[in-house]
Amino acid sequence: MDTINHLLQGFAIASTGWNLLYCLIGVTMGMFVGIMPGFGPVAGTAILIPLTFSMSPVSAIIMLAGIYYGAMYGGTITSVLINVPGEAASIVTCLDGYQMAKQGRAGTALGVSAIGSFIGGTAAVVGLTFIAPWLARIALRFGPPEFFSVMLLGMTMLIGMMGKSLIKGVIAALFGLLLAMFGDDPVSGSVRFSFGIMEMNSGVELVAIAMGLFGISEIFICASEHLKRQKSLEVKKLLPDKAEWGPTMGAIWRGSVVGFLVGMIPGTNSVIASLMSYALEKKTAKDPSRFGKGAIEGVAGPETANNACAGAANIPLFTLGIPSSPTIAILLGAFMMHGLAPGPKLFQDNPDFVWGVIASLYIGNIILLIMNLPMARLWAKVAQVPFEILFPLIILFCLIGSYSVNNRLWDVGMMLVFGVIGYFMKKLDIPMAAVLLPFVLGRPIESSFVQSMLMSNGDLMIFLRRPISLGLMCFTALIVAGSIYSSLKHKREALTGDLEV
Amino acid sequence: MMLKNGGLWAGCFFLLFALVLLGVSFEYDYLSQLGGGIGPGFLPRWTSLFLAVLAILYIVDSLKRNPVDLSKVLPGKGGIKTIVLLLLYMIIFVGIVKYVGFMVATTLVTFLMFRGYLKWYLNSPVSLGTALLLYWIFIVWLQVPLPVNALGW
Repeated sequence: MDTINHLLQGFAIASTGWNLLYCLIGVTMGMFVGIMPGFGPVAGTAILIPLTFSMSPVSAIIMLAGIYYGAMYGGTITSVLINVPGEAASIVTCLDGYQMAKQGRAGTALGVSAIGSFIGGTAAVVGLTFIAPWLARIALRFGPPEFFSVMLLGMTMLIGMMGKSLIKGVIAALFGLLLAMFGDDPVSGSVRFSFGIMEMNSGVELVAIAMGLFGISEIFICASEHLKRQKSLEVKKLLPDKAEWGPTMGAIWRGSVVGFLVGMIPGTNSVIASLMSYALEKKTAKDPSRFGKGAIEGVAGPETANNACAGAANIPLFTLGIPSSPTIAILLGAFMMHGLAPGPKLFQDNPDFVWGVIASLYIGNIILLIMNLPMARLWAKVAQVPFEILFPLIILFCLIGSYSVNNRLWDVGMMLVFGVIGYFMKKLDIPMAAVLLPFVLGRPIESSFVQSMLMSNGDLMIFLRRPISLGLMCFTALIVAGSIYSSLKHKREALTGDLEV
Repeated sequence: MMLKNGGLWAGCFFLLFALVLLGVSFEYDYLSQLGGGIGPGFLPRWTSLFLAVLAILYIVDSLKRNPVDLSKVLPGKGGIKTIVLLLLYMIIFVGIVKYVGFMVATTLVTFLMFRGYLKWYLNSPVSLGTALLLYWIFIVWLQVPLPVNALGW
């Protein structure tokens, strides 16, 4: 009952005129980001952070969160119409979605995706509403060793599941971790790696890194490959035939469960959720040979799963303060910029903020359903905006965005440097997402490690003496062992490259 | 031939980065002066050491098993021209914005980026309009303190 009361209070906050407008801007930007191949939710969220500086924290996070789940909806459009995934989670949708479009059923593929995304996204938010407060109460008992173990687990899962080479994944993660150590040390306060440059005393700016690695580098990649827009297929009837409703709804419910469960685990992401859902649909289908040739379940299941995952990814963020994906890592950075510390205390200390954001997720999903069903044809046209118009605008937003974080040109320069680094990392298959998460977690992980060491007088066994920490460490060890095994046996090919960019 | 291996260059970059940080990390306390705990030098030292080891492994791997042709990493002739131009435009923006203000710098850089795609008579109002719109969004509406000239734009 308490939860319902809080949620109603949240709706009162989220449904004020300004918050509704910010939610609309966020999900619209998310849709836009989603349909732009090569320009994903990480860069989209990072670019919009400066827009939020004059807003209240609740309005800011409502808008930024909208980009993430909006992008999951938008990514489907280009997957279905031009066989190019707008963001990584929609890769699977290309398999059957584009085939459906070629059969003159693009509208149905988009319609089914929109319905599935809405149900999956809403189911995840319902889960967030009821599970997060309970999980936060449990997490209140966590001390520094438990937090260190859970952050280590999240980071290990991300690296373990990323890229074709384990070495490249770990290099990227250590690079991110070291970048986090620039500037003042979170415990002693002494300044590290400033090299006598005053601007480096506060470390490297998250927005500059994210915009450089995920925004500028993508523009360089597109410029080097002379990408051109492809002509999209026509969008007609949006709803499936009567006989297709049964299998479609079955796929949607299964996708919701798969996506939700995957999203709750720190370190996983919506690509894994959609891949798992596709595999499940293929396994449960009476005639698996239809898959890859325009099976409606092959679109409904994965699209539902990636949205459910995006919604559920808020659970580790809100309850433990742990980002489960690069976009959520940016969101975590935005929390901190607005003076909020995500974690179990958030529900106690800032209930208006938490419940306002949760309520906005319900509202955002309804807005997105409207945008994707009656307005699907309009978005199909937006997907045709030429890169020559789009990229200068993105560059301008990046320039302004990186400057306005600290009002200094130094950060713009840093963004350009990371843009060049990101270009080469992408070309060399070094997963950039593995840089971002350790960078964001670097300071909290160091703080909790130092505090644990102080508690135990320098004894590392503290992580194995406490039951929760021990369990998490065992799980981490299992993932490390599995990653090394898959690397040695060359079985990492099945895993995706760079995720959610 | 070895120098045309993209993996080698990337490995060297990470190795150099790690070695520089490893060297500098010795300037910081390894253990906490409070006793029992670790100091600000502990994690940087171990992390950079691990990165250096992995960078060496990566170099060896790219030399022995997985070479990456540098020509596939570097952009082609047309691509490199576009990338250098884009970088140049961004550097121009950074260089002049403090002196000429947001409006002039943004109009100029937008004009340069749209050059070749839009004819000058269309490009000029579009660039000015884009700068005006961004000025209104960021400076007027959101009150983001972007650099402006003496006239306030």
